[in-house]
This record gives sequence, structure tokens and C-alpha cells, in this order.
Amino acid sequence: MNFFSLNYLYNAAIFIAAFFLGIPVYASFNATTVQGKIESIRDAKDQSPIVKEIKNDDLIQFHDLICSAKGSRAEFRLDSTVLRIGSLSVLSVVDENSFFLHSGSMLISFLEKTEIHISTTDSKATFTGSGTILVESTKNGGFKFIPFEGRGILKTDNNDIHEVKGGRLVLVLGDPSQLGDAYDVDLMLLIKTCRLLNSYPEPLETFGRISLAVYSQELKLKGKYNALIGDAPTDKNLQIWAFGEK
Amino acid sequence: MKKIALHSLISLIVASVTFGQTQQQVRNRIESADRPEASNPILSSKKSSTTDNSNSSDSGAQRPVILKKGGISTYFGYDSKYFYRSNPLATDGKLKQQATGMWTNTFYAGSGLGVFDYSDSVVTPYIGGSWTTNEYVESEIDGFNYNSTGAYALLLFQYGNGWSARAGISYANDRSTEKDTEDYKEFHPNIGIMKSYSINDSATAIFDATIGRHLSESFVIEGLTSGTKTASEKELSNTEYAASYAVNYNWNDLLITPKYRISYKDYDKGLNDGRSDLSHDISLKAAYQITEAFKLSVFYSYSSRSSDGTSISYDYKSFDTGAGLGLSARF
Repeated sequence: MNFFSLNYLYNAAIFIAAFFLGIPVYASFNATTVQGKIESIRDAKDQSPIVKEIKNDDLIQFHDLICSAKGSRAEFRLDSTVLRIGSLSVLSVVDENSFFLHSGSMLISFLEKTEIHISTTDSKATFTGSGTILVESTKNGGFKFIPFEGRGILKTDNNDIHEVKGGRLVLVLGDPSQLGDAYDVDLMLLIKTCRLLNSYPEPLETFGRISLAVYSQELKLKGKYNALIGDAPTDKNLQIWAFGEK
Repeated sequence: MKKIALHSLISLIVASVTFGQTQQQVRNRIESADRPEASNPILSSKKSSTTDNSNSSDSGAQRPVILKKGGISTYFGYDSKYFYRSNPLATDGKLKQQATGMWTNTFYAGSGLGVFDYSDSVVTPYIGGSWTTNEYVESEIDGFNYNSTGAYALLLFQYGNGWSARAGISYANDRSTEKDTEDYKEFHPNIGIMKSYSINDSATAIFDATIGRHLSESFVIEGLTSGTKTASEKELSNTEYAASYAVNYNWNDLLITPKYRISYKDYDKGLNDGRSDLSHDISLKAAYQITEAFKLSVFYSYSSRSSDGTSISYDYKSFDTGAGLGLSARF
């Protein structure tokens, strides 16, 4: 019996035990790729939280906090949606279409039109459409919404609306949330340097669409700034790191 | 009186035979002429200038860029080639016949009229044109010097799986520089597909297939017949099926491109009714990009054609070898 079979047995045992002990069983999703150390933390009400290291093929329940160590990352599959967690990140899957990013970064990819709710400590927004979306938390409690490819609408409770396009970064900030400035970013460079995209053994199903978004951006490209976009420490500041000749 | 009439008749026969030979040679030259393909400047203009020396991170480097509104782009350029051609008049027989040097100069310009999302593809309409001077170095055949004009309009559909499809129409025209006559013109509605894919980090393969109708008009020797067929100015019209396979291999600063192309043409007009040609072209090109706008290249190509269905043989084989330089700009 190999390691993966043992994992299935372990997960099945937890479910059966939970069922007979009357503990509510939440819907779950499974880890398809784990690199490094990833842990799940489950709130056990009056008891101390249950911390468990996540292995390949483990089932994770909704509302569990998923935490990654430095240099660690993992991929999860929720039906047809792919969720990836970046290094030094904490997130929770509220339900199959709602994701809470406490810190760090995550990538969500889905082929069919879906309504996805994304929230961080201070901000939230809803994306209706399809796409491969990189979400990076910012120090101001908001997040960067960066589609590698995608079509749809990003909307906040404040009724700010933004048409989503591949390579266009949008800042989501404040509570009630509003949409900040949008920046077109170099997609080819982003793809080459983003480990959430290129550090996994299997390419995303949306890779063809990402290639198309790069092609489209190349055709429209007029120039590049010698700068990199950094964190947003406050709602009014965005770090821009200049490089090259002054 | 009879002497004069006989002399006139002989002169007429000699003149018509001489004219006929020259005309046939011009036609051979026309059929062997290379015309710039519309997709070449479009495809060669799609180059990424992104540097990839940034370190990786989980969320990647987010470098702001400036995009053109609407995605309208323009390009123009100049290509000059000096090369040896072993059989410039595409005559049946030996590989080397009336071999000559050739100097061609091409000026081209085009425009992408926007970038549009359509279903699972990105659509780009293109228009463009070119003008080429073609000069034979050997004085014996410099009477065949000609200028070519080309224009095209096409829609390019690019898909995420690496395939692209195109539909368009092109126009080509050859004009004798010596006689200032239009020797040939054609409209060429065509459709095609192309697939490019990476073989490894330094090599990309490109497969292309196309079908098109050449609606041609050329001079004709009036009154010529062959069986039930009569000469027609449209007899160079044909339906062409072609496929090619090329590999772009980056080696140091050189871009090396071996390419093979096969073409089948089916003629159905005039004396060429029932004619079919099968052509093979093999080429090797090495290009060195000196700056973003300036490149040098050396090339070799071998062409052969076997023809069926006519009393005259249109078989030929020829090779070119030479060097070229290109200047291009894109906005």
C-alpha cells in the first residue's frame, strides 16, 4: 500500500469519524500539488485549533486556514477551479466561489464564466467572468487583482466597476471597497517571473488563453516603463521601484 | 512583288518566332518569380523585446507598460538582396542556364488596423503593399528586368493553441522596365492556416498550409492553338495548394531558418487547361540582427518544378544563393 492510498484512508477515516460523532462535515477540496511545507489550521471552537500538514491528495475543508512556509506553495482543485497558494501566504476557501486571502498571494483559474468573491482583511470584490487571476495582498489591507487572461467584470460593494483585461492590474482598497488605479503590466515578464504560474509540473488549462493575451498585448505594445510596481502601504500610496538609467 | 511579299512573310515569321521565344521566356520568368508573401512582414514584426533577467517571485515582476489605444500599428521597411540565380528564365533542362547575378530592392509598408477579441481568438486586419525592382546583372538578359508591385488585405485569426487562420486577397503586378509594359497581373484570394510551436528553448517550428486562386492576366500570343485549346490572357490562372514547414533556430546571435515548401497548381484556362505543376522549394537562411531595425542575411534556395498536361515542358530547376540586408521600423 503506497503513501497516497494511506492518505485516502486517513481522509476517509476522518469523515466517517466526524459523521458518527456528530461533528458537522464541511464540503472539501483536495490538494493536487504540494511543494514544501503547507499546513491547514481548523478552528475547533472551545479547543485548541487543529493544525495539520497538508500532503498531496489531502482533503481540505472549507473555512480551514491554509498557510505556506517560505519557498512553499501548493495547488488545490475545487471542481473545475484551480487554486494555487504562494509562498508565505495565508488563505481560506469560504466556499467553492469565495476566497479569503489574509496575506501573501494566490492564483485562481477557471475556464467557465463564474462569479468569484475575493476578500482580504479590509477589502472585497466580485469578479464575474472567466480567467486566470493573480491576487496579491497589500499592506493597506486591500489587494492587487492581476488577470493573466480573462473576460468579465470586477465589481465592489461601492459599485465601482472595471472591465477585466489580460495584463491589467487593478488595486482594490478600502472598506467599503473601491477600485484604485489600473496599470497595464508586462505580461511576458510576469509569466516568466511568477512562480505561481511556472513552478508547477502541470501547466494550467488556461495556458492557451494566457498565450493569446500575451500575443494581444505584444501587438498593442507601445513602450515599457523602467519601473516595477510594489506594495500599497496605504490607500494613497503605491510603491513604484525605478530601475535602469535615470 | 512576290520577293517583297516573301521577304515580309519570312521577316514576320522570324519576328514572330523571335517575339514568341522572348514572350515565352518572359512568361517562364514570370512563373518562376518570387513575390513577397503578405504574412512575412506581419509575422516577422511580432517580436518580443522583453528581457527575462528578472528574478522569479511568487507574484512575479509587475512592470508597467504603455499600450496603443485600439492597437493600430504600422510598419515599413526596405530589403536589398544580391544573389546568384542559376536558371533565371526557368528553362527546362540543366540546373545552370543563362546563370546571372540578380539585384532586388523591395520597399514595403503595412498596417495592422486594430486588435479585436473574437470568440477564442484575437483578430487583426492587415493591409499593406510593396514595390520591388528586379535587375539581372548579365547584359544578355537584362532586357527582362522588371518591377513588381504588390498589395494585400487580410484578416488574421490567432488562437490560444498556437494555430492561426487567415483569409485575404492580394494583388501582384509585374512591369517590364525596358518596355514599360505590364507583363503580368493577378488577384489572389486565399485562405491559410499556420501553427507555430516550440521545439526547445532555441528552436520554433512553423507549419503553414494555404489554398488560393490566382486570377491572372498576362500578354498572350494571339491565335495560338493546341488541339481544341486556344491561347487566353487568363491562361496563367490556377488554383494553388501549398504547405511549408520551417524551423527558426536561434544560435548565438544568428537566426537560422531551414524551410521546405511544396506546392501543387492546377491550371484551367486557355492553352494551360489541364496543366498541373508540382513544385518543391528548399531553402536555408541565416540572419544576423545588428540592431532592432537592421539585419544582414545570407541564403541558399533550391527550386524544382515538374509540369504535366501541356505539349510544352514547364519543368525546371534552379538555385539561388546570395546575401541581403533589411531595414525595418514598426510604430
